[in-house]
Amino acid sequence: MMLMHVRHAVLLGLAALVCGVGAVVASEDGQRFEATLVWGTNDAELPGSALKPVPPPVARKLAKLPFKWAHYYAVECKEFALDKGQRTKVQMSRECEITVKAVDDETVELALRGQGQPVGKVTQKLVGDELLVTGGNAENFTAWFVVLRRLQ
Amino acid sequence: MKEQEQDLVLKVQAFVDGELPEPEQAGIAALIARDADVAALVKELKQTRQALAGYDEAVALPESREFYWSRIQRELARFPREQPEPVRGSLGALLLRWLLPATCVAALVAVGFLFLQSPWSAGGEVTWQAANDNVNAFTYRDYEEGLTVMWLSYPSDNTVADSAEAATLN
Repeated sequence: MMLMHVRHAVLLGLAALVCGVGAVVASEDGQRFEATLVWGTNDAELPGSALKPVPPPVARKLAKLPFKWAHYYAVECKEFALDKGQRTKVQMSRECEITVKAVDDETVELALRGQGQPVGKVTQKLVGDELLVTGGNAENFTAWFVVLRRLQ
Repeated sequence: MKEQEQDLVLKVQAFVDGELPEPEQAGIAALIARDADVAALVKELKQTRQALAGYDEAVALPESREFYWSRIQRELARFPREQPEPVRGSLGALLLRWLLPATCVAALVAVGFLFLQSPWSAGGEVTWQAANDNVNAFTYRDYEEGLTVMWLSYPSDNTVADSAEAATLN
């Protein structure tokens, strides 16, 4: 009995070691991304303390868009790493979930789910400091955006 | 007019002008005698000939017809025919022949690309797969900024978005 416990412990240890090494490899060799859930509004004041400024590279490009909103706030901003061919789910808010896949060294696939329902999937090459922005109208004449960019 | 009729008219005309070969003359004369339409044509041709008689002066040749035309033939043979200048095989000629049209085609393609590539488009390097038919997507691509916007609209929020106050764009 004691021997079995030791064997299990050794096996679990080995599994943990393998998984740990795998995670390190993924983070070192994988592609790093940043996903930001953005709220577009014309209200200058931050209505909630949870809102943060949009990362500067994203804010600069959003400001140049021909949209009517004057202010963009980050509701959530998450970083993650993916190996080629790997995908991951990222919960951006209670109602917004994205699944990102690194199709190859340049191409990404972004699948959106809103309120638990699949919305669609966009695939495109995302290289350098390019942004992939999905968005739509929100309540009270505001807008939501999910901004995906590659971290160098 | 059918070909056969046209041939008959020409023969009648030749008969009236005295140019119809002798073996055919009797046949045409008989036809004129028994066919009122042909007779009417002969009458008309003769009247026309009389009307134009003053304007159609006969040219008297100093020599026989055969000799006159043989002289013209000799003159024509004396001058070599002008041959079209062959296209030179030089680089310049090749450029003119191939590069110029190719440049024009490339320019047209470039102009078309510039004018047809609207920033709001569905396509290019971006592919979109909607999960259901209720979602409409428009793609905005800013090549200079390196930015792609996939704007999603739902029928339920279109009424709001389409109102003047809620317009999406500036």
